[in-house]
Amino acid sequence: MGFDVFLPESEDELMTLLMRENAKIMAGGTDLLVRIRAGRINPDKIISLSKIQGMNEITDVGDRIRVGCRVTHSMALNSNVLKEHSPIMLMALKEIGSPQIRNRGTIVGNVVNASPAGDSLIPLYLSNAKVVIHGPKGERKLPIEEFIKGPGKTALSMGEFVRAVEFEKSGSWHPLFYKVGQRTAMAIAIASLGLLIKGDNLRIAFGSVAPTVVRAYKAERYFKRSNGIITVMDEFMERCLEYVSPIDDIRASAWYRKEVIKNLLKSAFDFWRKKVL
Amino acid sequence: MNTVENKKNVIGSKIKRVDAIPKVNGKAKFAADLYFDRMVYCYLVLARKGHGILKDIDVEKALDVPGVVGVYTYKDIPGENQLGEVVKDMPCLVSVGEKVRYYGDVVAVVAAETYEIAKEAAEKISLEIEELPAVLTIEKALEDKIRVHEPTNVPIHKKIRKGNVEDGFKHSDEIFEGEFYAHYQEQAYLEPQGIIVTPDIDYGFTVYGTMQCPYYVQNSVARVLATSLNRVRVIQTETGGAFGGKEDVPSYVASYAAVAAYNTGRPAKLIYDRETDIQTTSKRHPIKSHYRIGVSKEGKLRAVEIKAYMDMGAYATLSPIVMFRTLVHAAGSYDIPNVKVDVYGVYTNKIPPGAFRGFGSPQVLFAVEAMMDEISEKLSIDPIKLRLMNTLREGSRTATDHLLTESVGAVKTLENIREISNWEHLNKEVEAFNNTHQDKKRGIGVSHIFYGVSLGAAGQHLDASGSHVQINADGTVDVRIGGTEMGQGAKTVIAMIAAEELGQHIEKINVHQPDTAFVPDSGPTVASRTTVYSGNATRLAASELRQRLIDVFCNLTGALAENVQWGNGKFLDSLSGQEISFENLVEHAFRKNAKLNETGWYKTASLEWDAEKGIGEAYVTYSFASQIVVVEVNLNTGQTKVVKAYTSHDVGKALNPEGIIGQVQGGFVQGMGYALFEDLKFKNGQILTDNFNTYIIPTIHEIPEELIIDIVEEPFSRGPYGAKGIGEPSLMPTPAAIANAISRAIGKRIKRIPATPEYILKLIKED
Amino acid sequence: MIVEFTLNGEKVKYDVRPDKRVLDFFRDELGLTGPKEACGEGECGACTIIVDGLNVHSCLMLAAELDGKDVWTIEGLKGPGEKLHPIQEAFVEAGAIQCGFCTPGMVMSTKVLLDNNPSPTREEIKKALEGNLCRCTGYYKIIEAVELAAEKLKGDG
Repeated sequence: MGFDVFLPESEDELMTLLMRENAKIMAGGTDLLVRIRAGRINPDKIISLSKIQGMNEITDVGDRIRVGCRVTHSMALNSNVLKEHSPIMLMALKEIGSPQIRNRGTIVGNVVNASPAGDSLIPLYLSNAKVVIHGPKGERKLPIEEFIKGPGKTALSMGEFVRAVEFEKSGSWHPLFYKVGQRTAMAIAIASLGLLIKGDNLRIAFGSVAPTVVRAYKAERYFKRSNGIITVMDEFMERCLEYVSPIDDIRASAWYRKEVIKNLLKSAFDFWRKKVL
Repeated sequence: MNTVENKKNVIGSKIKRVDAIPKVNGKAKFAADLYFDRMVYCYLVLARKGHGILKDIDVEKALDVPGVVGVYTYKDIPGENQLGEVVKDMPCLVSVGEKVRYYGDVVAVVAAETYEIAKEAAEKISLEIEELPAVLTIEKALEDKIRVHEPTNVPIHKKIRKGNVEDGFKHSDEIFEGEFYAHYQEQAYLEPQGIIVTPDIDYGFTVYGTMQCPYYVQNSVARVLATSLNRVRVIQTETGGAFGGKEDVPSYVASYAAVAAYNTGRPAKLIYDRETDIQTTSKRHPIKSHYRIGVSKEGKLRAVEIKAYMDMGAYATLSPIVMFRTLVHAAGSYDIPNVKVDVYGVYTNKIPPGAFRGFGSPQVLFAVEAMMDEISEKLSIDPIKLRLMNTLREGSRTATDHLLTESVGAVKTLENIREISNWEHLNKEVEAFNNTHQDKKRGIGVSHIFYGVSLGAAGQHLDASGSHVQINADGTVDVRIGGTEMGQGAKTVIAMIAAEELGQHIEKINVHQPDTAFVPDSGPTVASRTTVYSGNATRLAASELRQRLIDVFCNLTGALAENVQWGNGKFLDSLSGQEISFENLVEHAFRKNAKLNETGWYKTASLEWDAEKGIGEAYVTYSFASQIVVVEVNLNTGQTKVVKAYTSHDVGKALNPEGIIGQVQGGFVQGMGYALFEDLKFKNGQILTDNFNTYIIPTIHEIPEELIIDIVEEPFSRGPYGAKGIGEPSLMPTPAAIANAISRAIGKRIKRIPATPEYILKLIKED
Repeated sequence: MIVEFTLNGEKVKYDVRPDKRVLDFFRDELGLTGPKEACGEGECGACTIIVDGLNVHSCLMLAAELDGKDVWTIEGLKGPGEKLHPIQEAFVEAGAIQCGFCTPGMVMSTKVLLDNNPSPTREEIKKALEGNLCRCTGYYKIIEAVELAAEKLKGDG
């Protein structure tokens, strides 16, 4: 119990502090402080981002959008850039926690926590996000799938922090987002499913059914090969389920998660078929 | 005492809660909000093993933490190391050499200068426990090979033997059977358990805390500290919800804190964090039940045979009286000539359940109502009609052969829900929805229940209450009762009764926090009994005082007593029109040294009860309710949404209609959580769902769009103004109605609650 | 460390232990016991306070972070004179209070909602209060209270 708190005011100061042992960055604290209280982590230094100027940009960078590490879910929900260019992100953000959590929690925080149930990760995976990392050696960018290595595990090295996340605009795609929790609202996902569809192009990602959020690439390619018309649902389903490897946990069984994903996929495509026809 | 009269002052009118302002401006003092000079903070050390022998407690490392004042174990208890209301089978602090019986058994209390230090030190205490195989299911307990307590895991058996069930089944055209299981439910009051014990100026101890039953706390602390009742004073703080969860548990919390206060000589504050609260405090009992019901082809119930097993966890504590309620309510609100019920209490190495709104009855009401729904479906009888055919009326006899002579609103509640739901149309509407939807199906569920008011035959010795009413020289009134306010509105209804009887404005009446120093042992605030017991006691005291004020008034004005009216802060001679304000009258009374304080004492006549056969007057009276619920089940996910609900409650007389509506709304939503997603999960006897991120209770999004409430008033002649209880009956019909609605929506019988999405999806997939 | 911030409309300066939760600092040291603890992990909303116009959990905020902020607790909410704030009045009048433990948090979340959206729909009310658990009322009268508060505030304006 007990830790030192640092409040850097510039990136340089932050970088210096990051060289210390057993230090954790805190943006909103909505996840970090919960884990400390539960005794799951025990850092002796917390570096709060609350006094840093800037780093809260939501910028239109051509075919991509950049979201700074201090952008909260509430800020993102109010962003015209995101409303226009990433409706799928808004759909996911609305499902996060409560106003109190959305007012403090950040999208980059979701990325760094690397939870398979992170609601904002599904749109990031679907939008081929890149994680912008700053560190002692300068800047590097990693695709989100390479950045997130497992539950709570990332490719961050000592002294590095995530400065921002950049992802493709998807305003011209049709978004679908389903989340199943134990109750209808304010729940942690038991299984979630996000889709972007445009003509015969499909992107599909699952949450809470594998160690990380996953994209079902084989199913995406199958969709393309079928010219966007799935005639044999089973074949498509099989290619999706290759990516689905859920576990039993406190919220639901593996069986339930898989079953729900199958059913949601069916109804998503029923919906799509009706829409296209 | 016949108390049914028409009253004109405040009873039955819309009143603002008397305790609302301090609660809305943040000034109300709940347990954790009290701070005392030189106070120590406490934290508990739990066994964290399901079953074993405690071999050693190593406190050295904890004592080394700076700021630790002391660590107290069984050796530091001056009195009896024994807790447990009703059955005293639970240690206060487990002794070395004795058994640990569940994960949450308390071994030591740490006292420190701050809460953080106390918690940190508690984590540094190491326990040596020789583990024994644990009994984690009812089935395992019934084998009786590994014993939680000697001599048996099945120490309690209660029964009803009415008529002859074999005969009844012989004369039945159809026999239905079913097995049901109702899981735990956590009370999840928002304010966690919390107590402060402080050495006081009367050379004893004063206990402050969140609780339902100050007299239980007083007894428990006196025993543990080996002191007398007149050295322990208990004052209830504002209580942030209880629902039964603060019936016996605060006695235990107070006992741990008392050990710390005794040994440190300082005020000791013990506030549970949510995890400790869920891990160690009582829940609704899990009950497995088997039903067999014989009916005529017209749908008349001929015989019912029920076997139910309830998991008492590691300690029986309140279980025997909870079982009594299970027993009496198992056959539902129906007139059945032949009834055989057996209820068994079973020990396991798990959390000891206790009191929770409904007290052992929602589990079996869910089961019997599922059976009624099944009968209605199979015999193609309209579910409301089937219930009307069999329900209790004046002149009916309950399952325990209790002849009902008055205040039976059962039929009316059934007729009223049919009307307010527009029953025929509702059925068509749901049918139309189902014809046009593939992934979602709707269903309509009906339930009908009765509920015994107050403690009944199993707790008669506790069924009396006092109230002290005092008029001050400035015309204000102090009312002190033994019943507690925990959010249900007791203070408001008591203030209304005092205002009604005295004629004083309700704003001038202060219903104080219960304090054992002022009011004699008034029993517990449970079983929907406060309005009837504390209410009647207040009424007695206040009407006595009014008589004295009338005498003074007559002396002053020459009015005749029978012409005197009171209300709105004044007394009036209806003949001459002369009036005197309440304040003025009191001033005169004081000048004459009139006695303007009175203690009312109310008790009910004893009930005839044959415990061997389970036959007789189980309760003083019964409340009745009927409910219709429409649900929508998502066939892809198994998730259920309650779309709308109609509910009708017979409350005798609605003293505070706004308060009743609030109770019914809250009870409905709590019952909905129980029916759908509140699911306690375990691993080796440890509760995994020990905070609100995993133990899921309803948010504002889950409530049905429409909840239509109807109140039936069938007066109870011995209730104040005819009132019966509503606190618990507000929840009772909901789990059953929702389960039946889901069954109708998916075409499969729901036999377990909570009916989680996973359970429902499994049923849908089954062939 | 020294933190300077505005608390319930007044400029204040305190020497705080930076890793203390704002909830504990307010309750144990400043005697502001309006914010309550019921879960300690941002699930129940009983500890809700307003920071720079947004409702947040005081159990998930560190005292060090208070520096430079504009902070309100239930204790600071007042109407004209020493009267209740119209939102508080509405909660009393609508019967939205039972045990009262969730009430301060509910009122603070309502304040943020109505500051930003004077005429919320039922759905918007639910969305704004989804992070505040209540175990007594079933939420119905709370929704009515928010609607009534919106009316009252419009009347004032």
